[in-house]
Amino acid sequence: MSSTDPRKKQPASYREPVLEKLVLNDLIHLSNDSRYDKNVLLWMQDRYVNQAITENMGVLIDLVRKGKQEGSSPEEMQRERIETLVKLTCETYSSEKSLGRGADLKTYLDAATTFFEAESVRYAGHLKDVSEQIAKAVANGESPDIDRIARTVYGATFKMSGAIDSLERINKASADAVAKMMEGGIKKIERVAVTDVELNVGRVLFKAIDQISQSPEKYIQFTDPRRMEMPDYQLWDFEPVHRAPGF
Amino acid sequence: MGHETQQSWDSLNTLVSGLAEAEFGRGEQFVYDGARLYPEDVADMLLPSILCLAQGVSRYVGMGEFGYDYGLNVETKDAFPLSASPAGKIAPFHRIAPFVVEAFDSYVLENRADIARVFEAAAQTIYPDFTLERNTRVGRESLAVGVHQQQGPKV
Repeated sequence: MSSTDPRKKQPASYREPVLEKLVLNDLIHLSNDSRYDKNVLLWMQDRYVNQAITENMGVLIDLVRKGKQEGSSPEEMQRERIETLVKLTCETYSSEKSLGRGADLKTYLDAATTFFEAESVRYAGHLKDVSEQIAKAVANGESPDIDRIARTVYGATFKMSGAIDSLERINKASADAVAKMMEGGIKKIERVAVTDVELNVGRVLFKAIDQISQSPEKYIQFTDPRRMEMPDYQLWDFEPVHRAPGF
Repeated sequence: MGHETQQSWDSLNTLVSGLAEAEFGRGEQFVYDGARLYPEDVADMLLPSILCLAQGVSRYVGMGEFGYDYGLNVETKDAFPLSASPAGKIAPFHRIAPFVVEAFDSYVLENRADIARVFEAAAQTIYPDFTLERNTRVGRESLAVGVHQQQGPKV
């Protein structure tokens, strides 16, 4: 199995913006400044996308109905859907902006804090799930799936470390809270992993995590959000179900 | 149910309670079996059905699956026997929420005088011939005189 074999790479979690590309000019403008995290900007955009969907569901339903009546191909319908969604999102944003709810530095800082906190809570949840899986396996006298668990733990802690780094610059209290959350998650795993000396889960698990940390790209499909470029794709390459960005 | 899945479920439950609460604020009522319900009851009783209907809308407009399997479970002690079980990767809350709002507006508000009809509509997405009268206790009398159900379980 080669190091690029997807079977060796497992996403522990993912984020899934409805539109994977920035389409709002204000956000595109901010994205040209490296101080702004692109994932946060996509997430900020998603708020307007979802508002547009919620407020214009009838338009989207009519679009499908019209496409079916006219015998459009699935590709044509998909393309039209995305173009419509982009148009609706821009209109929604324009209207929100006129009410003083556009994107600026302040909304970015608020969004970034919420984004990284929410991400961290999600990854802390993964760590909790992992500790429960280990505890369950050990209680049954079985060795848990170390390979998968090690990837999950490494991925989650890496993401949380990234969140801590980002939060340090904008909200120290939040950064400390995330650090505490991560420490708690790891301690919980350590506690359950060392309960059965015979299975020796703790030693094997942390050895596996250490091995992953030597060359994570071999084990985890990973995109460092700080270095992430906007994906090169056409606007209508919209496939939320099967897409798995993140790591 | 994993931690993340549970969290998403709780958020959806809160969303539906909030939508029902807003309707309460406007003086609307939700009724089941002749009794008025609290907003949280609406969410507790109907979330799987709403999710099932919301999934139908999302699928129709080409916005994908939510990651739940829907089925009728005769053993359940819930008010309505439609269950939504996680089946793989669950779509994040923000992806599901607009469709839940749509299902709430289109089905729950339309059927607030008898919310069992929301369950019926959801069940029909699984068994197209499902009706409360034919497949539930509502139709017990008609079954007793020999009307046989063609599709869907007796729940």
